[in-house]
Amino acid sequence: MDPLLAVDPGVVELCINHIALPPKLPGRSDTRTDEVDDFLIRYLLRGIKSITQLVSPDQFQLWDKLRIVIQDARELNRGGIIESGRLLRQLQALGDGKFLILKVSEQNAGVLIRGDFGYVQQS
Amino acid sequence: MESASAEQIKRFAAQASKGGSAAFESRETADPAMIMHMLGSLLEALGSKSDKTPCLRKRVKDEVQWANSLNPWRRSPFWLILRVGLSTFLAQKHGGEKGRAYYKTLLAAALATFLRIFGPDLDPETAAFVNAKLARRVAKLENERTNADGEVSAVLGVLFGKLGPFFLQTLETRRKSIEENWRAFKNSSQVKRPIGFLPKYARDYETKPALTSSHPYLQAVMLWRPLRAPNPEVVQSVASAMATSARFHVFASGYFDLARTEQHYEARRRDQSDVQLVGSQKKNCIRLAGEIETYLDQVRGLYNENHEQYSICVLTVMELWVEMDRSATAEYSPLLKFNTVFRPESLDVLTLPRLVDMQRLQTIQAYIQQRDRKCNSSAQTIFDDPSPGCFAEVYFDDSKHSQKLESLMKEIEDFAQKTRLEKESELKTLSAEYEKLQTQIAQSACTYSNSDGYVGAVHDRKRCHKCYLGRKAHRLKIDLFEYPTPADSSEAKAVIFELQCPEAYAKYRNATFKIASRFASAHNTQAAPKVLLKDLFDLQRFKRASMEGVSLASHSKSFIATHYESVRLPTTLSKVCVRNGLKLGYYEQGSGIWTKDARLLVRFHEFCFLRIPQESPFRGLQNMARS
Repeated sequence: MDPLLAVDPGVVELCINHIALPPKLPGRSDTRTDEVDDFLIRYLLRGIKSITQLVSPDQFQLWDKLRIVIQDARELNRGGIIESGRLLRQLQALGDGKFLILKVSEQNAGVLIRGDFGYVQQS
Repeated sequence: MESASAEQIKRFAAQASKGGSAAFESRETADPAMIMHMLGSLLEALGSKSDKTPCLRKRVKDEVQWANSLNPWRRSPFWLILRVGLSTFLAQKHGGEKGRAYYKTLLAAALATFLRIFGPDLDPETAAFVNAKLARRVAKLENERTNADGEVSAVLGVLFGKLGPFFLQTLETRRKSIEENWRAFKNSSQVKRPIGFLPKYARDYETKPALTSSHPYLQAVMLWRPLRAPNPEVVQSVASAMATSARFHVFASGYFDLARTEQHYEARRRDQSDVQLVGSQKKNCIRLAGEIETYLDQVRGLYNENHEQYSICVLTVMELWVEMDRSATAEYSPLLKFNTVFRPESLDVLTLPRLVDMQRLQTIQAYIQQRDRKCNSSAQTIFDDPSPGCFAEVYFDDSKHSQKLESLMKEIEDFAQKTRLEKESELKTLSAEYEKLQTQIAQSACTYSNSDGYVGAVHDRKRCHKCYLGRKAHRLKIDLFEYPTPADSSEAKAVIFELQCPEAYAKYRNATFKIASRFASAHNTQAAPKVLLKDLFDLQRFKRASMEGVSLASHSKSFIATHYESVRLPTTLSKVCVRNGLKLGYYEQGSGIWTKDARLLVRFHEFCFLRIPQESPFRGLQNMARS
């Protein structure tokens, strides 16, 4: 089993429901949301790994930047709650081309923050 | 941001209307107004709106699936945010068209890798589905490559050059595996059934019949073995007279007993004539109610075939009822303001051969008419739903028990007040604890260590103190307190009255309704009550009467019995101490009938018509005889 995607088989099934929307969906809300969310991140990261293994080196930069965005998103949203310490550190390090993805669970909203020549903007 | 992501704000949460007040609904999603408007305005004030941000549209074909659980299944919002975030990032960095191409490639690659690694472990149905999805994605990418212009096409061309074989191989491997699986299943012993060849000619034994049952008998006949000889003993003469009379005795005794009872009541009535009833009215009322119920139970369905006997039964019951009503109205004078459930003209259908019975009937009808006049032909009966002017309210306000009832009401109010104060202090304590935990959480940080860029930091949620505090805060909840009596004053009085219902009145009510439901031709078919008043937990300590037979019940569930029973912090007192959510009406427990339409239902004609035998040439007149 690939180390990046090592996880409980129950979680894999739950994730397929979210990724692919198969015909038979469970009738109840997931209880293991944190594990599911973390697996979704790793799912994307593993996809990037496959791409970087196959494309030519000049493309590498592009995909690596994407990896960093996903990695940051994982750290910021760990446990389903945005930890103020982590967020502060990331905002302080918000250089050119940086991008933060935040999930505000209880408010049913998401916030995207982009670093552009030192200015912080919100979308 | 940290608190916004962790705390539910009940003001923006979805609300459901229950019992006239709004309750927090956990099954619907919350309104993101806090982030959209509040945070948005804050940031706009600190900076300025930018034109550079590209606007993205995303078609969300998400589903909400709900099958018999507390909360429905929704597609992960985190997944949505990730996808929107990544496509926005790529669009901003590389421009709209190229960004989209990269984004789609990423998703296809992720799905393909997933399929490679987990494919063998999936069941064939899911694997086929996911395979098809990947194939669609790759096909769409291929399409874009051929249809797009210049740069985008070049980019996709390069990507496809490198990734194409990877995708194709994944799809092919999975497809082969599924087919192999299917083939193995088809050939397996579970599914494959051998179909033998039809023989071209019959075997020797197949041409001879087996005769498994008839063979022994035929053999015996062939050997002339005689069958059992007839028994020469004389049949013992049974005391046939006794045997038949025993059977008839059982059948007839039911009717003989009834006839005896009816004659007894008739004689008693005759001897009493118009003498004022002696003894306590209450005791009389209870005694007569018992007699009515016993007599009706005794009759059961025995008179259904015979309309004359049926009429005598009705006559007897109604005479007893008139006596009981006299005692009841003497004891509880407010009863006179309410009409009976009987109408005098409905008794006209009775078929009584004797003159003396007709006279008895006339007395009864006169009494009912007199009662009707005394209450000014009111449409209200004691069985109507609790409302202003109902019997319970009138009795509560103005009778010899008013004081007792009022003091019971005060007792309940005091109890509610005390509990409310207790809840208030409980909420204060829990809120303080919640605040304390939140400050602790804000001041601490999660423990984790760094690792390579892919596997990421290691963080053990179970050992991290901050996460533990977070879980503790999340689990804090408080139970709701529902006010024990309805807000409407007439309904509240009805509840109090019911809790301390006088015994004689209760028996009178039960017996009257038993007659009404017994002789009703149609029953209203409403849903069964969700809860009976006597079963409510909070009122158990105030119960002073037995509450059997006709009593109060609710069409709707009380708050406590639904899933709104307890609520997570943070919350306010108004959400914890809620109004009473019951919709009350009178309901008879034995027969399962709501009583409010009792007056409309009582008709006596169901069995009071002449039955013409089937073979009679006058059969055609049956319908006329019925009406």
